[in-house]
Amino acid sequence: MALMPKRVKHRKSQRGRIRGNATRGNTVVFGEWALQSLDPGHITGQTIEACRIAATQYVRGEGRVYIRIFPQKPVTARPLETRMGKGKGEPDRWVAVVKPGTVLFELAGVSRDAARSCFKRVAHKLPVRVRLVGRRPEI
Amino acid sequence: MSDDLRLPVERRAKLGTSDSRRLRQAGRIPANVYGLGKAAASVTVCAELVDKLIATRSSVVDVELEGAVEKAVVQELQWDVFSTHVHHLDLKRVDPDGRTTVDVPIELRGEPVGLKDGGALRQLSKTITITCPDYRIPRGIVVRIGALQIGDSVKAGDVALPEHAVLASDAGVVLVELYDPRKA
Repeated sequence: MALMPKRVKHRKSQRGRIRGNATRGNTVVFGEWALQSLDPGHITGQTIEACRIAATQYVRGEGRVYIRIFPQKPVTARPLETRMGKGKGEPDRWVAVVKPGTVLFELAGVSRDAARSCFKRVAHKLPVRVRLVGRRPEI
Repeated sequence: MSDDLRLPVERRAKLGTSDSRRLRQAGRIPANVYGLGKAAASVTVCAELVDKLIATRSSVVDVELEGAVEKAVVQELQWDVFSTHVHHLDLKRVDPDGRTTVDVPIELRGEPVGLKDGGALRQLSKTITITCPDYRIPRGIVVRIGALQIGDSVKAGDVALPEHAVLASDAGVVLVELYDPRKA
């Protein structure tokens, strides 16, 4: 079951523009390795679920996968072959708004090589360019 | 002679976003030095030295400003969005002779041998009281318990403390013990 909000204040929202870099949610917090977005984009709940399955099947109980994004935003779509007008379409999918720098997924309990292999499988499913990052060095 | 990294800094006159960006492009990182009731100074640090500082994993530095050397700790590091470059650092002056007494958490390491013989581990204290320099308070003290047999215990005096720290509590205080639950 893809992620989606339990309850929302407004059923439909405008798409908006994704400007600037992520100033929050851009560090590794829960695990040791993370997949960080390099592009802005919308990631659907179905995509997040596909990534989660790909990652958990790869680590197979040895590591833990953390999902750092949530599809909060509804995106509407119009039915096929309908004429213009008649108002805004119905909600079609839920998306997470991702800015460059956003940490998408994290992995704990695996080596760097394992994390790289795991995230490579995940990256194939994503509509944005990504890179592997570790924790910021603590001093 | 201190074994901490010596950080030569230069005072900067131009402040603000644009000048800071130009500084970073020129291989310098903007920083502030403040604390101990003295006037705060806006300075720049060589980027290579900051990388070296991060590699040493030590937050204590000797800041060299206009010929004077002061002990300071890195209070905050600001990173860019992608966590690849340091944007700014805060250096807080510390009193080199200042000492403090604090409770530091204990981190147990290892699995006691006596556990296989039916022993049970009991941690009587989660912290240990030490006296150390203000600027070198350890995040935790590692207590190795791998060799414990049933009936053994680790006392505060047995714990290996960091170089600059001394025990402030009674050395006979039992921190961890491995007891026989059948006799308890």
